Amino acid sequence: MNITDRRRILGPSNAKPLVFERLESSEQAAQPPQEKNNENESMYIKNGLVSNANGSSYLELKRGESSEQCTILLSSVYGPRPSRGAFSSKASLSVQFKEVTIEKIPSGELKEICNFLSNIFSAVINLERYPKSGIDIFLSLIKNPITSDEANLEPIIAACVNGITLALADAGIEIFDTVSAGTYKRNVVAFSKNGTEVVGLWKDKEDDTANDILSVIENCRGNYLQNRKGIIEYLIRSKNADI
Amino acid sequence: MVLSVTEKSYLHESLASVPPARPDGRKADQFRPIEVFTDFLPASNGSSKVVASDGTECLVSVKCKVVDHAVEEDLVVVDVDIAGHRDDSGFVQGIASTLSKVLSTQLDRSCLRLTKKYSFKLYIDVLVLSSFSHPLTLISFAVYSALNSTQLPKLISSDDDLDVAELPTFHDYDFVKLNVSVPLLFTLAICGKNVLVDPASNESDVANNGILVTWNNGKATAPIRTLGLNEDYVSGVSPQSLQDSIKMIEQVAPEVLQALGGI
Repeated sequence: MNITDRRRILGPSNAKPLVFERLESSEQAAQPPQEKNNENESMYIKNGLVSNANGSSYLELKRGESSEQCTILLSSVYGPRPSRGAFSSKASLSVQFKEVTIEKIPSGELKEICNFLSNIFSAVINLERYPKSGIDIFLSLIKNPITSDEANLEPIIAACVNGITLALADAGIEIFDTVSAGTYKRNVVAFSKNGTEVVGLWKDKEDDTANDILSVIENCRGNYLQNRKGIIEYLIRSKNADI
Repeated sequence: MVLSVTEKSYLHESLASVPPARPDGRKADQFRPIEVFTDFLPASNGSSKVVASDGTECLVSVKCKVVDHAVEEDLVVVDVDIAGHRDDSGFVQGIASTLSKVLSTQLDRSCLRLTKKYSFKLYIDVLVLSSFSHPLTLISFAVYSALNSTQLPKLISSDDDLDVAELPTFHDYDFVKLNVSVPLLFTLAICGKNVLVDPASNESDVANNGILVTWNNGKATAPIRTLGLNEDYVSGVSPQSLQDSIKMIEQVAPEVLQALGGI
């Protein structure tokens, strides 16, 4: 008996139901997360997740064992793309920061962070190399470690610096150095040139470090070297995997 | 004034030389001369106008309102308007956010306390009429002199109003001076190894980096951070320069406070 359903629009007669292949577990196991356990801090990096951006990086920072204290940041770089209007001899840089989930950071502070980050990266990106163009960096904070009312922005800012450096490397944009940031108590310092130069200093809350800025910088440098090692190791490994 | 590439390069060289040769002949730790006028707006509780020698002009007005401090958390609201810049630009919003954070966290709330239930809430409106260099130092001077010239209405009712539901009543014409320690914010430019206080616009254009240092209660406090003064010459600085800039503020800030206090 041939019963045809006349009430619905059916597909072509030779249509077959959609069957998904089983995910092969071996593929996932091929890329273990980069774990480096120092002071119970671990970092997971994955580049190139955003397909329509020129470069992107996904950064997961965990402090301790609990998943509460976790920062997840997705940075994407668009550019260098041609900018219209007046001629400019070098690229213009813009940084936008957005919280994807619940917005906990006041918008004024977000602007301050963007200003701070674009100041760091105008010193780091070889902007003269890209005349008449614009480089746009978008940061999406997917998971915010802030749980209490008092905003603790320092780990987020450090993650932003590291994330942008990775995304720029992924986009193939010329940078003078792999810049990375280190935190110590309530201070963030972004370094270049193997820790001899400071490209950004952020101290927003008074802590017991008093006025001895040199020792603060020294303590941040240790954290910087650690972060930079993680970044470079990842970049080398992903390059080898490509070949 | 827009400088050519050659002029900028010459200026940068002279600012980075030892000792620095500043175009207006100042020493590294010397401020530009400023004129300060206070208490001239009849409709506000405190006001000030600061004019720098390059024509940068900044007006600050302080107004107050009586609020229930159990309901309103923020007792200081800062609004910044800079002529020639959009209100939603990162530059204006960044300055406004920095100022309101510094003032709301570092001003002593007990100075604004009126009774056990009510407090004064201060509205600080900043208007920069014309700015050529980074206006933060000037705004901070103006806020300082405005808050120090602020007169608040004098309370004549009882200051214990927890049990009696009574609104505070004020004297018809007597005022009480607001006595509060106000933080100062300084911008410095780093050129090569030199640290220059209160950079003018042409100096900001060629600075390697800028530093913001806050001064409150006799010491340099947070926020201390790097600040973008331009996009062409910005580069990394040595940690020693950061320490030098804090040291320089520790030297000059007491003199600045003395000068501003004499008004």
